[in-house]
Amino acid sequence: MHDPLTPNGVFQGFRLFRVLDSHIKTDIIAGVHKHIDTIHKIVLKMSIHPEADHEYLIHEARVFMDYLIGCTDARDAYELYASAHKHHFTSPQNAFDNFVVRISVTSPFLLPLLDSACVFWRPSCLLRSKLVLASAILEADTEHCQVFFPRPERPVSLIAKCTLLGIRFLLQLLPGLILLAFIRIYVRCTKNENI
Amino acid sequence: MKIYDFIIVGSGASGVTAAYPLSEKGHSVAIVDVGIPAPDIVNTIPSKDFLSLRQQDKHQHRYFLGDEFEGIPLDTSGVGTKLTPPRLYVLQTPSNIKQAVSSTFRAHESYAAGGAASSWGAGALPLLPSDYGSMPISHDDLETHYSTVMDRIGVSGADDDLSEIYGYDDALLPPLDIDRNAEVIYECYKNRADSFKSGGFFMGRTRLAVCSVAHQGRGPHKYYDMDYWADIENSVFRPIYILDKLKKFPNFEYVSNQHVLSFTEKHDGMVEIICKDIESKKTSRFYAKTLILCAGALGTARIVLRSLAKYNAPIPILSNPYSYIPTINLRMFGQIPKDKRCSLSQLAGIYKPDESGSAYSHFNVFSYRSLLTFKLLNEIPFPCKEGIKILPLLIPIISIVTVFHSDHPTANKYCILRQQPDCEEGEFEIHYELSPEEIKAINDNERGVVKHFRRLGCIACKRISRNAGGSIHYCGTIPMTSENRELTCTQDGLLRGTKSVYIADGSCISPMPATVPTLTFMANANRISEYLAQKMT
Repeated sequence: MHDPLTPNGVFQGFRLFRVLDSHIKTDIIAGVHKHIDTIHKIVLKMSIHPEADHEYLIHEARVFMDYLIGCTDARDAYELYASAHKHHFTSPQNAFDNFVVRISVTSPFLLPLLDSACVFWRPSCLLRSKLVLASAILEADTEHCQVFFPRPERPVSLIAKCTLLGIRFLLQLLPGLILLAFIRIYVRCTKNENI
Repeated sequence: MKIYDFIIVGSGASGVTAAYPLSEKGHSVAIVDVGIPAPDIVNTIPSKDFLSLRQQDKHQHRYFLGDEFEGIPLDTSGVGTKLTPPRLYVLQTPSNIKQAVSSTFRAHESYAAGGAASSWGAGALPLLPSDYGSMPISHDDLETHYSTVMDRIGVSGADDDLSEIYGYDDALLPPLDIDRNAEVIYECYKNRADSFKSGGFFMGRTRLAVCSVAHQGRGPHKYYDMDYWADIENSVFRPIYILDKLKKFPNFEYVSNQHVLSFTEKHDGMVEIICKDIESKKTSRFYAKTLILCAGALGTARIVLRSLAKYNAPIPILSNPYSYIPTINLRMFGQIPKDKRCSLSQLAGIYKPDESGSAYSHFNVFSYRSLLTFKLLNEIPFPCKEGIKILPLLIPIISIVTVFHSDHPTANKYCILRQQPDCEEGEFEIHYELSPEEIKAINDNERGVVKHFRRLGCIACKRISRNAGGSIHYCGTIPMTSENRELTCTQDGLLRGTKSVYIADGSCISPMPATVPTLTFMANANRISEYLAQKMT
């Protein structure tokens, strides 16, 4: 089944709808209006539990770990991420939070912007929790733990590095907040959830 | 029907300390306890240093993150840093035991074999004269017991400025080496010690229940920086080591899986102890000439209230208010940190703004080296990607200062046992609220500590106060007092209104000192136990 929240899912649904008989189309539209709340619940449920799909979680882990430390091939770490995810994210999540995560995974180039915006918006949001989870898995992995080891630096170098990272964060922050605002408006309009 | 001379409830620091002199003198002794054992994972941690394990052990995620990834705290669970996955069992509650209920207090209770001290940070300091408050005992009563306990468990420490406050005991083992982060702070302190001391700020090497040299079959400490994860060489004291020694006495018995509910004193002077078996859920009964309660301040309170049917009667509860302050140690810029490290507190001290010292606070200095970095990602105002790049640069210069404050009974700190028709345990409620005056005194002292650390080159990033109860140090529920009041105990630990029931844990200590009270609980348990051993003889 196609995920209705991705562009591909919407496209496939549209193709299917086009080839149907007009009576059936009318019935479907009427049915949609009649059962709009039920449909919203189904869509919401689908967006709440993408984690039920193991391969999806592996893909999510790949995207997050690539973003965090440029790790592109670590099947063991991805598998650990998937099992840790199943232990930690057991209760339904907020639809807006879910949507932010889905966009980050389907469009990884937006991830730095959303990560930066979330620092200001809500540091304990779902996206950051998942990024922290991915960091934890990487940190307890012999192949990738060195990235996390303490590194003594000379004062000048330390200040320069912190300043550069701070500037990069600020440059990402404004577009990130605008993007987040758009997502928020979109989710509100589609009435996926009261935010 | 077997009748023991003594039954002790609880195998924590106080319980095993109380059992030792009695067993040594040949009395028949049993410790009755729930006694959740340490998980198997504890025994699988290789004996290597922290960095080597990180680089070499493919299965490190099992103990660093936990088999169920419980070491990744994505919520604000309030569990301290010392409670790593291999130690989380210490605060595990069996499903058929009712937890305390509270909206103002986070009660952590231990049903583990060895009790809460199985994850003790090992800080081992005696009470100050001002800590005794209205208790009917003084330093003279505890002094020899401090020495006995220190020799039994092995406490390392130095003769430094802390000796001016706490005195010096010949039983102390040589101090542990400190890391570079602490060295630069301590060098700065020593250069201007008189100035700091005149401001009421005293600092020294932390006195730790750790064998720095081989002692009583344990140690020496190997500086593997794994103290939060494993008990390598058994150098850091855990009550289970004394329990293992006790098990070698033919007159000693350890009965686990038993949740003690209540006691009844019979006409012939015998005490009947009523328990529920954790596995079979059946009621079991044990008999002793004398009962010693060491089930922790909350556990002991429950047993007493239930046994004396004192439902709805409020009793006091005390707990250390506690904050931690991450600081940037400016003197560490460009310094190479030593890899040979102990993870425990490096430096300790007290801040007493007034001469009397009655409102003093106790602090410890830690480095953040042997815990995983990801836990700090949510604490810093950076995206995760940038955070991963910044934290390894900052960690060598971060010092964590923890500040503990004393606690005194007030009308707004109490617990109550409520009777419930469908539950024989009843519901144990805790209400804990600091007064505005207490909050002001805490804030004033913390500001004073921050000011003095600034003079030492440590700039505070923020002050994080834990929820009430977060320190896991509780006491004073059945206080020791000379006043003849119900739900209190006498100088010798006898529970008023009973003939053969004694209290020998933190329940009888009130007020709560600012220093970590575990050593005092043990010294007091030893005092009561030696008194009882002599009395029985």
